[in-house]
Amino acid sequence: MLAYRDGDGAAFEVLYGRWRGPLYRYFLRQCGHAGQADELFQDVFMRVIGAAAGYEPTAKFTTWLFRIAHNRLIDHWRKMGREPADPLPSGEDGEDCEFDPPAPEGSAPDRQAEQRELGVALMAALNELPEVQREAFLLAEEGGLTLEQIASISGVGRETIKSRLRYATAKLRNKLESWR
Amino acid sequence: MSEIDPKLSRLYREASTEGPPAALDAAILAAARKQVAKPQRRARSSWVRWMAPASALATLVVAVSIAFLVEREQPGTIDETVIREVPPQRPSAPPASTTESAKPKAADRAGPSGAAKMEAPAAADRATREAASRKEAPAAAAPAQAPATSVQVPQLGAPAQAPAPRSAEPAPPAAQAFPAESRAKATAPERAARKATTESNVAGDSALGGAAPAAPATAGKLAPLRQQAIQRSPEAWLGEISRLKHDGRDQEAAEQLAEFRKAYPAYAVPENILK
Repeated sequence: MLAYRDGDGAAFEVLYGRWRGPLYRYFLRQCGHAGQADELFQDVFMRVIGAAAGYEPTAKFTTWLFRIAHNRLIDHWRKMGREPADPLPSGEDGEDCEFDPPAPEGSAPDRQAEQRELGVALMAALNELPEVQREAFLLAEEGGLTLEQIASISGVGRETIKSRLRYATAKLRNKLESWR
Repeated sequence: MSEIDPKLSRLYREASTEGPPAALDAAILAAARKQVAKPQRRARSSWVRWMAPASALATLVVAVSIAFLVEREQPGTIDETVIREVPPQRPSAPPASTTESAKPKAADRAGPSGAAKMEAPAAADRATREAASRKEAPAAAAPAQAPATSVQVPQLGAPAQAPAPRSAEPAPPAAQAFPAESRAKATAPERAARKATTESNVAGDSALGGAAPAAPATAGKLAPLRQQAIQRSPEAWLGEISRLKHDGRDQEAAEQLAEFRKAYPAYAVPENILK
């Protein structure tokens, strides 16, 4: 980003190539609508381009990028008349158990088809998660962010993010149990 | 991250392969390239944007500076113009006021005061010489007198400390510094006549306390008297007129009275002077 700020156009292409997929999927999973995801995705990268001239590395670029995305998403939800709800009761922790995906059975083509079906089931389960849990999961998976970074972006405490992630994982596992 | 099951994470990554449309990629990359090219245009456009106000400001500063300079220079210019231009505009008037300003002193010295009486023999000699030169004055209007006239004119601007030279002597070196020489030469005959008149006036003033004035110098005498009127009080002037009448110089007294009335038209002249 610093190289791009200093006039290196190719540096932005590298940056964009690295983060275009994760950011797009972040919006796609959160909105569930490709058109809205396109709009939000483009808007965030336009903000990045516009802010490049005054960019100072006060935080990791990924944190900065996903904070912009988070804020844009909150604005989008408010515009749509929605407020992301946090279903977690305070102090309650998620179920801490290990997910055990179904063991591959049969021939390779069958296994591949089963994996695709498992993937679709995972996405469906992810879509059923509350927004805040889903966001914590997406920021961890797509952004590769730590608990502290996610907490910073979401504006909540680290333990809250930890709970959200555990609840999200437990729910996803439960949804996928039927595939075992 | 320990909060997410690694197997679940791997399954998610294998299933999550969506990406933005190619058109969106192209639009964003084009915008990024455009932004990189912007700073150079910005620098140029900022110069263009400030060029017009800067030009206007520079013009304003120059205009104000010129105005101040002109305003500061104007008084000196006007004074020079007055000194050089007034004599040609008033050909019938006495040659110059500066020369005249010196004459009252001479007149005072030559007048019927105690000091003048003490210098009586010298004044008598001077009066004789001046009377002779006055008779030559009409002839001095000839071109032969022109060089002396051109010298005499510059003395107008010089501080006159004593009566002007009565004859066509060589010009003082300081007088040659005046640039109006060419103009003076152009009107040499006219100025020669004026010089003669001036000299006649001086002679007449000197003779106020002694010899009778000559007829050709009568008109020229009025100008110094007018200058005297400016410099002295009406009472002093009337006292002098009264003395002239007392001395039997009725013609001079009448001329001065006429000048007095021009200078002080609202002043009540005493009866004894009017008789």
